[in-house]
Amino acid sequence: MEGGNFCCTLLIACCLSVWVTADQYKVYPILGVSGKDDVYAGAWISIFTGFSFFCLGVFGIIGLVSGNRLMVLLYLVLMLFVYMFECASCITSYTHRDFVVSNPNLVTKQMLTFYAAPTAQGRELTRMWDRIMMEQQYCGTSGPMDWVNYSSTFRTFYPEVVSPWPFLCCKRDPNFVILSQEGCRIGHVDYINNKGCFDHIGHAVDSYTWGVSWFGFAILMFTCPVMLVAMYHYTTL
Amino acid sequence: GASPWPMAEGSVTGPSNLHFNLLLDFNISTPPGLLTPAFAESLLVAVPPCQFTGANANIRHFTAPPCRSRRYVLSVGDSNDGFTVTRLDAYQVTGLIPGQTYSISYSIPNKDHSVSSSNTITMQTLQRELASSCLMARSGGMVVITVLLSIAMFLLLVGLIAVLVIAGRK
Repeated sequence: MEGGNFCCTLLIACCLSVWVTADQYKVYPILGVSGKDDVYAGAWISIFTGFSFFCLGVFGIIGLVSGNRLMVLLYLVLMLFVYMFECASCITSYTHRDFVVSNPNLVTKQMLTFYAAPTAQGRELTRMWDRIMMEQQYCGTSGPMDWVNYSSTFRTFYPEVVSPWPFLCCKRDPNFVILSQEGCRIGHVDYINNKGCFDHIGHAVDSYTWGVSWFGFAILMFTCPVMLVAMYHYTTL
Repeated sequence: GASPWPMAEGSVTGPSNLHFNLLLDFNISTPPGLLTPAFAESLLVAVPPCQFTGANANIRHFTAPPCRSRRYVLSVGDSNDGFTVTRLDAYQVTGLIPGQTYSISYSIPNKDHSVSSSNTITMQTLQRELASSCLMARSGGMVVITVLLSIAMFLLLVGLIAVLVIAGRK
């Protein structure tokens, strides 16, 4: 019974990690361009550890039922090994989430450096920001003033008089036609999207991290007593 | 030919010269509905009130003394079903330097050859900074996870070693 519950939990963990890897919010470029993508690495690791836990769970049940000492010993050693990997995945995933979205500075600096840059990373990030700004009707990280208060790659290509911020920040009608280009250019509140994308990005990265880190943590806390009980059973064999 | 509308002059001076106008006929207001009237390289100033421009609210002419900065008259509005609703008329002074303070005033010659003048307002252009990435915050969740998982790993390692020793003695 206990083993059955155990196996189900681990399959759920596997599925959750697959969801994270699929990245429905499509915010991977922010993490990828920063040079480290540990939130996703954590998800990949937990797919494999989840599946490994499942297989080992089945193996452990067979070993305990049949009373074979060697099988149970092998089960314990392999479980410990997989446990270490899962621990690593939880911790690095959470640490990287802290690094990226605990405050807007990293995301803002990345946006100002890479948006409109002609490099491959720049193009990828520009595409991602354009999509988020257009779909969610936000502008910049904390708002349009990011583009005015700080120097940026965008500023080197477009003078402030011509385009203080990307015109994707402008309010549009249902046909995606800009309501008033002049109004958007000078920052009239009826013609420009004032809210920043940081909440949306933070929410996406947080959801992934909660799935990988906290759920993984819960599984490990549950697995620890299960393994201690298995160790006790081993001594009685 | 001569324009039926009065001509208005806008003048902008740098921080060293201030206009002292003892007769203030009107005050310059802040243009409404803007995110910010001050950018890093330009400033937005409300146009003089309607009494100076006649029945409709359009400014027809601006002549300016020669100056390094360039100016735009802005008129932002919606056009729906033949009605034009003007949301904002403002004057954008461009070609400015980030992080500088500027003094702005209007002096408008009237039809009876008198001059109407406004108060002097000071506006500062934004300082364009380099984006800095501050130290990241460490959250409590990370500390909790790390501590508890370390303890669990330690317990399991100790348990396994103990079990091997006990089983070896049997």
